Amino acid sequence: MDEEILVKKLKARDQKVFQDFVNEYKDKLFRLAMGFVHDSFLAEDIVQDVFVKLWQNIDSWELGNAKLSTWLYKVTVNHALNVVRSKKKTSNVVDISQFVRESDDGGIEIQIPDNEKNPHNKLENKELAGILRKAINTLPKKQRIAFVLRQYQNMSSKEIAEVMDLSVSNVDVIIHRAKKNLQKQILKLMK
Amino acid sequence: MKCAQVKNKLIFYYYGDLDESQMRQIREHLEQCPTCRREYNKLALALDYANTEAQMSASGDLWNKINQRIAQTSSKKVKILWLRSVETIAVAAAIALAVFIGSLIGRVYIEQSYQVANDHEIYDDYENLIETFSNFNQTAYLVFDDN
Repeated sequence: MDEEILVKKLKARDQKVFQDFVNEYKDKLFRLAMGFVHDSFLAEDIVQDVFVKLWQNIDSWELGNAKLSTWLYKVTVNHALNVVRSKKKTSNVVDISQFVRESDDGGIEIQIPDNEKNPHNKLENKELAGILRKAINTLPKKQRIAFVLRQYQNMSSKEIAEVMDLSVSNVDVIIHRAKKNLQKQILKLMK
Repeated sequence: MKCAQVKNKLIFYYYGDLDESQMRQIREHLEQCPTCRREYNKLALALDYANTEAQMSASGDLWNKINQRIAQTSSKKVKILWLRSVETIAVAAAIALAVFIGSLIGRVYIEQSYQVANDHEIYDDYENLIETFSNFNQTAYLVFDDN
């Protein structure tokens, strides 16, 4: 649907159009929020808040502003960052000994748990989620946002540049640095 | 490629960001070097989990939750507006009642004063007195209106 028509219908409080809009974007925003909070309950709360905010403030929306989807991504990023700021938990170093075993040639293998067979899957995923949260949250703000938009939304540099109000070349540099720093942090946390 | 060079590029190897030649050199190095392989496996474990998260979906009833919250917010707003209206009406009614009672008391007081004045033949111009009171009352209403 054309954005102008969409906004008009949303301003007219068309519930059906709003429901379709929510269904179109809910998973995208959920994944984006997951990239910051790594907790499905928190991520869902964030998505709910964003859509409620959109519904409440759609009257003040003016065409000619950024695209509605870009606005949604920006609001989700900011809200997720605020949630992360208010939640400070998990230790710095996570024990991954349960994933590690000696291989036949004397080396070390790390086995990724099988979701179906492993009854402790939830706990292990929690630990990995903790590592990711810690590692990503230690990145400088711009690097964090750019990396999450790329990793969790599979956005192109151009799309990321729109959301972050940056140039495309700047985004590429930021993502390169983000990856470098992230590797350092992940390996530090998984000692 | 040496270990230090490989270690610097592990994450770019994971994401396939390197050119073909570098990808091949690192792949070959990892096959031969257990230390670098271990580092790479640790990194890949975390990044694989990020990929899993990036494919997750919101729960099916998310729309219902959002719809419910919107309905709650709307009913709260209506309730607040209704309470504000009732409050305003109540304050206005209380002020009007106070003015009305005040004017009744004033009228009774003046009538009594006139009676006393008449008894003592001090004040026999009753009409004059009523006019004075009316002027006072109008001034009071004006002050009230200003507020």
